[in-house]
Amino acid sequence: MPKLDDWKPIKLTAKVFGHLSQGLYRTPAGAIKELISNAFDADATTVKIHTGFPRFESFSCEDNGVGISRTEFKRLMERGVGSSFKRIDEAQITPIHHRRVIGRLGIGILSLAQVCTQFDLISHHEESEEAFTASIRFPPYTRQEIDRLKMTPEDEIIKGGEYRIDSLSFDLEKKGVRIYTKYLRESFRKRMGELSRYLKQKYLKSKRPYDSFGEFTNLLFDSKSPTQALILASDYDQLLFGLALAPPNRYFDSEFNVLLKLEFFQEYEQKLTDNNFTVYFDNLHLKRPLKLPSDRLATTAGQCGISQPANKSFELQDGQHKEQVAVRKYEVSVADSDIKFSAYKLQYSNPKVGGRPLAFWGYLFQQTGRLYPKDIQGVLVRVRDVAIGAYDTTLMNYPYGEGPRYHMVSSELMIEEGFEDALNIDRDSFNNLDPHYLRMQAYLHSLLHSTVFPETWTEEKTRNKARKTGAKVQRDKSFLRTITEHSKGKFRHIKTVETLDGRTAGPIKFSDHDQTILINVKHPVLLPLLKRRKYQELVQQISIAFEKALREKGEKQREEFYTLLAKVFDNQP
Amino acid sequence: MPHEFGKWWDCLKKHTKRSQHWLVRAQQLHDALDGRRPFRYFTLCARTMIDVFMLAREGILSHDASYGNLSEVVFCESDQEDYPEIIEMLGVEGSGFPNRLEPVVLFQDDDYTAQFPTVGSIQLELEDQDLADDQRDALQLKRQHLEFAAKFPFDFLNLDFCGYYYPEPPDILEINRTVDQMVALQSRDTRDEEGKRISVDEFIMAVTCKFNNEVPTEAFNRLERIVEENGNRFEEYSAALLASRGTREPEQWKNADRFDFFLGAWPKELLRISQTHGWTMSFTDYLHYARVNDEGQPYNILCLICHLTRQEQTNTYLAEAIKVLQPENRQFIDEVDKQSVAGLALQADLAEIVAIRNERARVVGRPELQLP
Repeated sequence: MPKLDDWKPIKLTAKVFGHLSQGLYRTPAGAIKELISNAFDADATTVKIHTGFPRFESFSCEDNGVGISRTEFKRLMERGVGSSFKRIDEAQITPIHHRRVIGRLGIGILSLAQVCTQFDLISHHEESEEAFTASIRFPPYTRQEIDRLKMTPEDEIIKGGEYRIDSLSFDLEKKGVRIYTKYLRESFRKRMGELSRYLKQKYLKSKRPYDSFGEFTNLLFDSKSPTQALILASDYDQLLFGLALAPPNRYFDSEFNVLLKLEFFQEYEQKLTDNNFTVYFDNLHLKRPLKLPSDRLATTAGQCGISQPANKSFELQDGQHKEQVAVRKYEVSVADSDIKFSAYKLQYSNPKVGGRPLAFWGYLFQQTGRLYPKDIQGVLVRVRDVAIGAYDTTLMNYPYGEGPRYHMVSSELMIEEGFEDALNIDRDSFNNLDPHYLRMQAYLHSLLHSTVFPETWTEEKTRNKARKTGAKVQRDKSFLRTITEHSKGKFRHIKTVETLDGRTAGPIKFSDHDQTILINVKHPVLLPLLKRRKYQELVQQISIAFEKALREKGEKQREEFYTLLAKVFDNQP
Repeated sequence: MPHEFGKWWDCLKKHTKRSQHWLVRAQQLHDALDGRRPFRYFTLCARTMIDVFMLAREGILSHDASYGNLSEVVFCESDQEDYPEIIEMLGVEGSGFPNRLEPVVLFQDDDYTAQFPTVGSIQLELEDQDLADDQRDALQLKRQHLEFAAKFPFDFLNLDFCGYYYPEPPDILEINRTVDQMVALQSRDTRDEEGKRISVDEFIMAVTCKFNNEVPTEAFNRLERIVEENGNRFEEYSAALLASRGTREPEQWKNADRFDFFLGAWPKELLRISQTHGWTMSFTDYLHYARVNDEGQPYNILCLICHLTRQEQTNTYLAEAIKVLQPENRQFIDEVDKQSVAGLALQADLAEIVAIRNERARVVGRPELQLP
């Protein structure tokens, strides 16, 4: 290691310093995600992150991108990180893999302040054929410093941390940026090191690292006892999930996700594949951990069939603005089941929303039954294929009561144009008053309220009715089998009539001829009993049992009646 | 790891040491375990990791189909760039310690750190944001020390030090104390994932170090005292010395042949260590070979392979001390003619291990080793 220069101050805006000192990101995943975004923008094909699980005494992040030049690095450190909160140039494309730029370099590097107090950065910059090593350390943020900042104008440049830098000899084989630290914040170590809720510990009684990413996803979506919510798993699991979900990665395993059977989704998956971008985290190859469907019945994507799409439209209402919007609906049926799910392909584009164009596409999956874990319920917004925060389980503050249906929706919305101003500085949350955010919110709420939830209600009602009818037929069949067993003839049907021929005094007639039991629902003895719909089936069957027993003699009568009565009650739902 | 050390991975003399000595001893111990539990291995393997993949190839170290998930290997590596590479090659996060072996092993409490006896109590104290830097550093080192100690015991301690056994003064005994402490830690028990107790009743320790004229004088003075004390205490040793070297005086012996003196005297350090901690040691292999560094300076590499057992009643000190005195009990590994039968066999063996290692490197996207 060469001798380093003296420490020099890092210049930041007061706004950035304030955010960093108070924890810019809501989760460690939010902070580490920035490093992945930087690597993506640097045309890296691989990013490798190591946390030192389970002791968490070191951290490294290495990419094989083009690297950062010494000049650019110094400019970032000395001209004030965050001094221009300009939107990313929408047309900015990376030179090698032609990717749309997703991150912000300065903030990305300093995001590590949330994880460690000091780190080393080594860059081998391909274009300039220069390499350098730098150490960066962050000050201990004291309460006094934070209080003082409240008096400082947000755009004023202040000193926040120090850095030192020196040259290295360039090595093309080492091109890219490598970050190493052993100075992890104790708060990070403490959170990560608490493994009592680690999924492998919970299910396999092991505190070893996951053998593969598949092991993690299988445990997470374990259908026998699915994890209700990641908050019930360890912070490490949450970090792993968050990092797997966020980047422009492929989805995990087609057997996991029924949407991968849809052409439009396959095209998206291909686009993600074409990114040629792989993220490894603690030796695990990360992929988007999305299992659809994910229910308590352990329904698999392989059991699902998908219908031809149907065109639908709904009225989007955003304040005074109204427009008709088209969606495509796919019905998803499950083999050997009456369950039906729905998948919607969403597309929206408007050249002027708040004066700027907005375009996004996405999907919405509606499951019958609650989705597990909770963390895939709701809606996830992606800007340039990078997740902004986590799934919003409130569905962007959906205002209507929909009971459990709320928890059956999983959606992703991919921004194609616009939305940059709707992002907060952490790029992990939204400014909820931005016109683009409000339009997307209105889109989602209108879609859910006018189309998705009403159709779910209808579908659910139809299914429940069919289930009730089907169940009654089964009960009748079972009861008729018993009656047949106790008769000389064979009975196949029970029919209700409003009159019986005069020879039959009672309310029931056993017609051996057409194998039918007829019930006179207008008979004076039955009429009052059949007033309550709830008990009609029960009353009919008890009556049949009674009348059947009456056909016997002596003690046999009682025996027959109680035997059949027992069957009646066995049959009840 | 210094460049000087990393560049010798393809040396056939070194591979002789690996394949005909380390491997043989590891295999014997592995066979003795008879599948009762996985073989536990500590190494200072550097990023080349030939020793690890050699043992994996032989099935001594458990691994998956891609030669990853080498879950019973523990290592120390202070190079921050090499550390993640070794982790990926092993395929087990957290299997290493990102530090030099010596400070991790030799941590000693002061009045402050002694207040925090457990990893949990250290964690709590470290959450205090007003902690001074030196206190924080000390606690972090103690935590690392405790976590390292919890990994013991091992079946094979492969201590392939890249430098001298006796470093530059003032602390010429740093490595000796490290070995001492590691042998002491071998008496510990640990538990596997299922809570089964793991202890070792025998283990292999291989210590490799460098020798040339730069070995500090203080080290020779120390060895002289040890030899003299041995001579005074054991007539048999003194007689053996006289018979083989023509003198009973350690200084004369040293002045006549410093390298021979070192070879004969240094193993006593390990014998003393094993005796102190209740282990009975026997030297199974004593190897040395010559090298020339980039500046054209010659030096020697020594490797002592020891077998330690928990047989406290047997005192082998004298017998083993006399054994290493006899040149016939040492093996000089001469230059290997690459075209000879032995040379070709060694090259083929190394190539096979490198192929396995490189296959693993391709899986994890790390640089492959190029055989010359």
